[in-house]
Amino acid sequence: MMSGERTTESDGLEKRLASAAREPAPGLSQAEMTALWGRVRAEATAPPGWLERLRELPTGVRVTMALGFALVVVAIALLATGTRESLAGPGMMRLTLGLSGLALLAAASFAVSLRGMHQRPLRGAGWGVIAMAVAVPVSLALLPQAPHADGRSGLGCLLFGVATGALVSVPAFLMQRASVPVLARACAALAAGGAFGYALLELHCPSRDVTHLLVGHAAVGVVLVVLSAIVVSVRRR
Amino acid sequence: MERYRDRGDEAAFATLFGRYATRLHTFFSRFGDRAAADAGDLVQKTFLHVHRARKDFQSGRLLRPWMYTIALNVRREEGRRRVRSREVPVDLQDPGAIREPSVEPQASSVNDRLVQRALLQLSEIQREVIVLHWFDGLSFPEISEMVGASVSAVKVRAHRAYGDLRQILGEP
Repeated sequence: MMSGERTTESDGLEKRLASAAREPAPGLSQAEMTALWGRVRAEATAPPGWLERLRELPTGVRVTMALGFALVVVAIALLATGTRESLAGPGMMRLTLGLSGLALLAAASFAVSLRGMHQRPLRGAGWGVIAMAVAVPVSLALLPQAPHADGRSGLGCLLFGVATGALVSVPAFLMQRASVPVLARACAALAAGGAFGYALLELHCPSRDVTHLLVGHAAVGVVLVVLSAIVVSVRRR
Repeated sequence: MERYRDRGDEAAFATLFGRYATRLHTFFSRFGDRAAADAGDLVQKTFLHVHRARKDFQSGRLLRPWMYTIALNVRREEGRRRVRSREVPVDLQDPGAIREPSVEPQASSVNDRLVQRALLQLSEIQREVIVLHWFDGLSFPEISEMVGASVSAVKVRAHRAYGDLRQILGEP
């Protein structure tokens, strides 16, 4: 089958389809067309509110704005709480690489979340990005660390990371153009938030204990994605 | 489209509406969104998303696949909304409806009704390809871009869908 030509490999079927395609369209009468145009025009020309203005921005701009907001929130949180002293230690290169990769995944997650209706569906690829954004922090936490256990439970870090991650995700929710909540979009927004929450904790918390890193830091993304799945499921009922 | 994107020219939007509203209405009807209000609502939503996404339209891009991508996504979104509100799709509310065409009987030939009935028996992804390829004249590369599958996957879907149509319609 060539890409441009319409062929069904059956003369009989082609005749029947061609005949059906020539049938009069299941019509909109002139009055219905006028009424429909009136409704479309009224909605399109209504003065947009601030939220609608945000949603009308090009997709690239919306993704950049979501990323920019996330970076500002993390920077403010770090200014308020301080960075860990061991930051400039021997693990600096690994940390830089890990966080750079995570930033790319967070950007990709925001792009999944803010994908426009004019773009083709991502299907499995979107979920792949979400899974990576959640799995990479877990993998980083499992890497061997310079021992530094200070006996803190991970709960404080987890709550701090979840709160920051949720805040970071807010613009991605507000700027979505879809009219109904979509599970993949919600999970992608919060997976990006989880990545930023993890990055903040890595820059702030001195503990290098594997359990602490898993429970307090890497679990931020997991918790946020699970929460978003629950919220979307509840809203569907 | 560029005029509407750059200057918000309402006349340009009206021209777009005039050119595509009936086509999109027919397009939605072929999917079984057969109540006039249903297809009309979907056309309205499609144009609202066109308006919302106008700044994403890139110069030099073909407008028709761009519009149809939005229309397909509007259909999917409507499907999600129906699942959520537990609304039964129009073509399943009445078991007899699935056997009827989307057009008024007097405006439709027996062949059209049979073809429409056969289309409604295909799976959603098969119907998408047939409607876009045969009835709306889009090429396989355009369809592959719209549905998020490779060109060869779309060709395979079309091949199977035409095979199923042949079988349903009893064509050799």
